[in-house]
Amino acid sequence: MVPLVDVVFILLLFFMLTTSIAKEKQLPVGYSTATTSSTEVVTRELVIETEDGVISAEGQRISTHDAKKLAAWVGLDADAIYIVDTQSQISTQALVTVLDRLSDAGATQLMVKEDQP
Amino acid sequence: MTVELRQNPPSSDTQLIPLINVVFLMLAFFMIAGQIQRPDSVVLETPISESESDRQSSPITIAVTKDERIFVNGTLVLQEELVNHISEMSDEIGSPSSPTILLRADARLAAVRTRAILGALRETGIGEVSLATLHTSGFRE
Repeated sequence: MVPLVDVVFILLLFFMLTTSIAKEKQLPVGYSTATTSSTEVVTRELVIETEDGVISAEGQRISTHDAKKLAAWVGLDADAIYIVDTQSQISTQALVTVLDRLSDAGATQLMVKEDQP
Repeated sequence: MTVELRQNPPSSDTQLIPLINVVFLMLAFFMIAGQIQRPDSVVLETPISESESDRQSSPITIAVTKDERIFVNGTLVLQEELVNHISEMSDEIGSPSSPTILLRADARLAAVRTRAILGALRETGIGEVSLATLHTSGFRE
């Protein structure tokens, strides 16, 4: 019995050290300037103002927490290309969260506005 | 008159059975729920997202840490050299279609820096870019 337990312990140790339980995903982001040069596509720009997801777009401030209001704004033209810009103090996590919320609100094409390197 | 019932002490093997059961259950959990992968050489806090697209293996992975250091496939690269470095790597890969670049940006990194890296990648004129994320139901690394 004891040798079996030893082997099982070693197997357990191996799997505990080598496996990852976190589900790794990816979020595709396009190059915004490549699409804005074409005149046929409709683009809508928005700027993330605060870390908790308040955006300003087309002259109005919208909290992305307010799913109904955001869906109403996105619903005006859900097929447009949404180009997301940020204020300087915004973190990458806040950017990703806003992209998620826009996607939930029905936006299908999301792009992050590139900055000058 | 009282009769004393004498019970044989359990053997050491019998005492081990509950322990073995637990260890087997843990082994089964890690074998089923986990996935074996090479650990990323650059440790950073991946942004959490609801994105459902599985992370694809990418020939070019760029990691940007919180303190703005840039690693291309694990090698430290200066911001000024990034465009040349990526262009050279793209030529080496020699794929007819543009490769996808996986950008692992730290969740705490300023989004402006992430956007600047995207700007630099656009200059190389290659590939599509995806941001590496962790699913909301996943555990923090």
